[in-house]
Amino acid sequence: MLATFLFQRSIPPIYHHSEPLAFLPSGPMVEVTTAPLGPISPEIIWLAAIQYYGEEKISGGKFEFLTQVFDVLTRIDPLFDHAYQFGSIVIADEGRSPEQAIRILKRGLVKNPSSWIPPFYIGFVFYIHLRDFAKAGKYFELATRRSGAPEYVYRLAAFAYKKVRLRKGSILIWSKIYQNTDNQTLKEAALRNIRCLILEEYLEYLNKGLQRFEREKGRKPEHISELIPEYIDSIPTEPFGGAFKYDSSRDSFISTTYLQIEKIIAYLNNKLHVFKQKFGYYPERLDELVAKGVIDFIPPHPLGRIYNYRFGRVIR
Amino acid sequence: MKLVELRNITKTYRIIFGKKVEALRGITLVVGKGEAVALVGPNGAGKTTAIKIILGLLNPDCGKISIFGQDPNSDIRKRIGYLPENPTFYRFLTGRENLLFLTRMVDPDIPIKRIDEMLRLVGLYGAKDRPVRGYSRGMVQRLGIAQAIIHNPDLLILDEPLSGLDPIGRKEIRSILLNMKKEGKTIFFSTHILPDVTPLADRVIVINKGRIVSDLPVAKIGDIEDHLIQILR
Amino acid sequence: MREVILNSYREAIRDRVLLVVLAFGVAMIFSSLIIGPLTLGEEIRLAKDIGLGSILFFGLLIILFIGNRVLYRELNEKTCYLILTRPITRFQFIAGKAIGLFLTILVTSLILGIIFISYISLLTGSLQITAFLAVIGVIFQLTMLVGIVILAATFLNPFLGSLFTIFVYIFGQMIPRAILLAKFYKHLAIARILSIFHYIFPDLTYLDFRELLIYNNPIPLERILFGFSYAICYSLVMVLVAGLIFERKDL
Ligand SMILES: Nc1ncnc2c1ncn2[C@@H]1O[C@H](COP(=O)(O)OP(=O)(O)OP(=O)(O)O)[C@@H](O)[C@H]1O
Ligand SMILES: [Mg+2]
Repeated sequence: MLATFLFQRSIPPIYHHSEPLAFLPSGPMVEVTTAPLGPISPEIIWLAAIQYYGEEKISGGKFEFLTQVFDVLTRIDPLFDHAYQFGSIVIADEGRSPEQAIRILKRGLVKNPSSWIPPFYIGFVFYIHLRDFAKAGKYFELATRRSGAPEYVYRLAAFAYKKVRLRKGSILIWSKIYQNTDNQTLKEAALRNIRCLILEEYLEYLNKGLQRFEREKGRKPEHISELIPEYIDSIPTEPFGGAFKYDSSRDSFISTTYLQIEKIIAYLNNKLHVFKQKFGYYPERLDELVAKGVIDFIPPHPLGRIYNYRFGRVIR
Repeated sequence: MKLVELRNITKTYRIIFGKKVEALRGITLVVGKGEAVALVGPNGAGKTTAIKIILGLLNPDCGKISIFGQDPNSDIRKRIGYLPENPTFYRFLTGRENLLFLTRMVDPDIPIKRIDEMLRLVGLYGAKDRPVRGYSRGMVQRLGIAQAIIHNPDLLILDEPLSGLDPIGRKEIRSILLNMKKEGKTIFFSTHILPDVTPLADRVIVINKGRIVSDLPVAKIGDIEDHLIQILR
Repeated sequence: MREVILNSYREAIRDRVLLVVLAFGVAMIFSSLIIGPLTLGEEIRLAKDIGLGSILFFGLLIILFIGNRVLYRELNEKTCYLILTRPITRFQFIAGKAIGLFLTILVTSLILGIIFISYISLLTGSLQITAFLAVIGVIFQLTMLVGIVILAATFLNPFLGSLFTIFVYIFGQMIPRAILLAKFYKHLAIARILSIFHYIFPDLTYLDFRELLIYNNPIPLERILFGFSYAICYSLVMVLVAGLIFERKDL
């Protein structure tokens, strides 16, 4: 992955709108047209998928072809479990299209009937992205009936059916993904998601302590230290290296990382406005801001995520 | 006994766009055992075509062929020695390897000694271990003769056997062929080099524009050059 | 006939093109060392696919470069005159050429195959027995293409013969999948037309044991044996047809 990134950096990016995967045939005919490449075709598409993913990630693209490239890949090589796994996670997460991820996985369910991976990741998308616990439970359970399903799939099935708090199940899934993959990109994604979930967990804990304080004392705290140790044990370390602060105007705990994200988004939206005034249209993708000299660089996302840029605005 | 017999052979080459070349227009000829027959005629007369048909390399449009009373595509080919017009060999093999390969196809147990003997006879012994791609035109012709006679065939069919050779080479090869004739071998050869005809041939068949125009014993032809000029005029 | 086989084998094996192709084949097998780190943890899979693919493609290249020429040279440079006037039938001659070319392919594929199997065995730390079967499958695929190229050489020049062979290869790979697709989408008429072509073009998928190599999915013995016998019969029929065409040919 690192090599891809370095390689990407060494060549000047093409800013005028070009579709790197426009050559890719689509639809069912792809199985036929790639056949002459024999065993090499799935490898080419797999490398193309990774390359595309890396490219879009760096340039802050919209991952328009992500679904298509994984669709093609799993059509050519319907037994390729890693493609289902990696594909569904990035399509649902960074590609923000959980429904598409499920569509691809459902084909795997049929064409790769002995693998627990497709049903498990359908459950995963329902659980984490679509928050449909009943369906998630159904697919987790389906995964347990296929050979080789690890023990945590059973636990997750139980979680989903019992509607155990989402966060706990999610952390479990992500940590299992983290442990069981050699794919560095996937490891990073898992780690990022685990950190986000832990951050949420901490915020919830802090805010619960705060609410109890206000209920019992009938006033807002002057300083955080008033809460320790009766209402909260200690201020936890913020997983992204920021800090937790008490914001009296909002009357709740917030993470400085979140504040920073809000600041960056406001900054970017402001610059997008400048861009629009200057050129009369909104850029196709965020890196056009840099290309056209409106800003020097795009500040990295504090959570290591991709900015959600749609229709001329960055949203959270 | 008739060793070669062609009856009413015609052959038309089809070239592109439906154009046709009538190379043979009804040829009938017979070569008897022990005879030496020369086939003469100008360029493009049809000599090579007739010879290829005798050997079954070309299929005639119509007519009948028999060699030793049999079909040319049968086992009697063991008893034939053939020298094509401008013979070619495997360029990447040496003269000796080529000869060995070709001879083994007729006689799998041929002793190497015999190969070397033959190479010495045609004057190629010194060049036997060089790849054929480095041979001169005359050397290739000598190798061609060697492969035609090495298996001691009863019938020799030679397309311009003496072309490409130097005067001494010509004499050498001619004497080899005369020896074979003395041994009672049958020789059918084409040429348009007239001085080659009389020392070797018993009979001369003249072919022109795909037709046989004369077929006479050498004794009945006085000066062959005059004969030819008279016929072809 | 033995002489013809040996000779066409010797001619092909001494061809410099062969060395170049082999060198590229070996380079491609090892190319997964360089691309491997880009595959996000799928190095072994990549090594297997690329390796198997290189044996197939470089075999195909040898067939296209050398296979097309073994007959053409013989006819064009007229060396066949001296051979075909000896006690050998034209059919034996064609068969000899085909077997010589097959031996060339066999030797080069085995060289590449042994390098490939040792390489992935080293990568995985265990002897990859499944790779043997996959390589043998590829050799049978190439055998069918040898039949095709010999057939093409009897009536086409090397350039057109190469095109013809590539065309047959591509369709041979595409038609089986196209039939499945047509059936799946209930285009039965198309499926029926394709099935007719299916009889003519070689079905290379019968000899495709990639699933075993990559996913360790066992392949039933009947399928393997059927694939082998199919490939042998198909190649024999191609050589037979080539022989029939060649019998009637003016040289
Ligand atoms: N392969 C061929 N395709 C078309 N026409 C041909 C072919 N071979 C020979 N011909 C034509 O057939 C005729 C007879 O040719 P052939 O080679 O038999 O003549 P030849 O008597 O051997 O001449 P030469 O003395 O020059 O060797 C010629 O007009 C020639 O142009
Ligand atoms: Mg001639």
